[in-house]
Amino acid sequence: MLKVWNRYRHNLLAVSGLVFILLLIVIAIFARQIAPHNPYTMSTAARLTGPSSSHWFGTDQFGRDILSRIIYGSRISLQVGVIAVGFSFIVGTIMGIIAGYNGGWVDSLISRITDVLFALPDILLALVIMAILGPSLNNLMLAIGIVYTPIFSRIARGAVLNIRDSLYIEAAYSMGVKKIKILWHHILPNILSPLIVQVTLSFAFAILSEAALSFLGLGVSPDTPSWGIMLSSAKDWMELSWWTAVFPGIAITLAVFSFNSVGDGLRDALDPRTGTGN
Amino acid sequence: MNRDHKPFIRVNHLKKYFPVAKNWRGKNSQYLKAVDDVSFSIDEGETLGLVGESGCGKSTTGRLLLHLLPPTSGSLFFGGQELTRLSKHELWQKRREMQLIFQDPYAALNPRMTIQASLHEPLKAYGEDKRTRDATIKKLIDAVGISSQYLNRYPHEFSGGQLQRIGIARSLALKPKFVVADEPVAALDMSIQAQILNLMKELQQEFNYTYLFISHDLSVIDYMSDRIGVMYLGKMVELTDRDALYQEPLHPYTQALLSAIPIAEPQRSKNKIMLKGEIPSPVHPPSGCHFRTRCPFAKAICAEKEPEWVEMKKGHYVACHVVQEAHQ
Repeated sequence: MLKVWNRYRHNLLAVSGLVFILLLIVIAIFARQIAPHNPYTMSTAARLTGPSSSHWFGTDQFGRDILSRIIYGSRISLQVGVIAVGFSFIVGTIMGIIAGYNGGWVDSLISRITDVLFALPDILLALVIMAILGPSLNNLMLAIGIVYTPIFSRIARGAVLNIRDSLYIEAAYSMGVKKIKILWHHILPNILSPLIVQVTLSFAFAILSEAALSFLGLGVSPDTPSWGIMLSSAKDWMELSWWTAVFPGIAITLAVFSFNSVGDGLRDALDPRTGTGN
Repeated sequence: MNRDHKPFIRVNHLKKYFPVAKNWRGKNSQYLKAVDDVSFSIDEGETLGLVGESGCGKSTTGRLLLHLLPPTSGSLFFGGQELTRLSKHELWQKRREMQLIFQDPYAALNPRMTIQASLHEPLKAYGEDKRTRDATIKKLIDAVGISSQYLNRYPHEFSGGQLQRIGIARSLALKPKFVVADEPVAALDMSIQAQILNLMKELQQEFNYTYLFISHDLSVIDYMSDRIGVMYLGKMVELTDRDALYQEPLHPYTQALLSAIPIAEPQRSKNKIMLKGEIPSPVHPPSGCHFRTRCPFAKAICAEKEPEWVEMKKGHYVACHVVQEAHQ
């Protein structure tokens, strides 16, 4: 564990990403204390005013403070990103490992299920799930999680197939190591790299999916501050007032970029063959 | 080495067919006969060498003996117990006593585990506590000549020779009785080969291991083995004491193999027996004797009948029509 951290430490980009994510978490927790204005308070007088000393990031079409809405929006974005992607990562990886390691009819069954899920467009699938479950933040995260599960399942299965017949797996088996230990100690660490990359990519898509679904009226309610909702509602105004789109966009970009660089750093740090390690 | 003729490993009519093609009903229609009716035994503390060209079924035989592959048919006795009849749990318990040394030690170690973790793993699997494990590993790495300060390193930080010594230490950690060494030195430099072979011999003397030593290198086999079996295309063609094999090989294939050993005397003339053609496909082996297509002495009977496995002299087995006729 310490070795992993030592290798991670040397990657400047990954460390900055981690710092930004920690900062984001702090902001999300203390949003009430940090935000300069109430994110829900509307003001007809202050509609679409540009950045100023009282509203650093300007105001939106209802006169709400954009900075405060971004600060509150970090709560939803982080929640959706972490929980939805975490769900699909855990469930998908377990499915993929079971399919790849066992083969046979188990593999066929799991692979056909993922094929079916893949056949439907992401948003359509999420819409169907949301329509069945009803609109709420929890259901939204579950729907996004289900939509991304087959990707993880397929990546994990492919990686397992790639190493299942490796000599070190046979060696472990011939030395009496039990199946579950082989899965945990030998297979999982060696298939983790592509999965981590996928986690960081999916995080970005999850934030955007939340925006799309909220925009369609199936996510959180439109007055809730969420980066996705802010960005999608800004599209009607951004020709007149650039700040309505630019600041939520920067927030999403930075968060996504941080998660990506943390993912890249983690992938390299977990591989003892890269870097110095001492 | 004096042998008390107590067979520790006994193999009778062992076969392993791998399906390679299916017919339109999804049934297996074609087989690769990797090991085709092989019988032999290994005494306790003895080294049986297994030699042959690549693809002749040596490695498959080794894996069958450890029951890493289930045999298609035939029986397999390990210290008096029939391995194919054991339950999963009984087989797991038996695994402790039989281990494999791999040709490629780098590929046999998990690249993401330290050497320390890899060495602990088999002992942990059989529930040994930390103190015993530490003591065992300390003794082992001393025996194979690896410094304990390297234990925290990863496989890619070692040389091939070091890795093979680690591999041997790992295979022997469970104190097995029977060890299959599958070309343990084929991937190493000449100078390191000797080191590893001597190490294996020393360990054998100390702990009375029974070895099945697989190699395609005749000088390595000569150095290591008490008895030698020669395989060709899934069949064993000759089996006898080392000295008998090198001094009077009976089977034409063995003769051809031995004549290919280079001798460090350029003046001395040699009758090198050049074999014609390639090794045939094990999916469509020749009828009768598998070797007949390349045999300089092949007769009509060789195509018609498979030669029987006959003890020509005491402990000297041969499967060849020509040899058997000549001795009648």
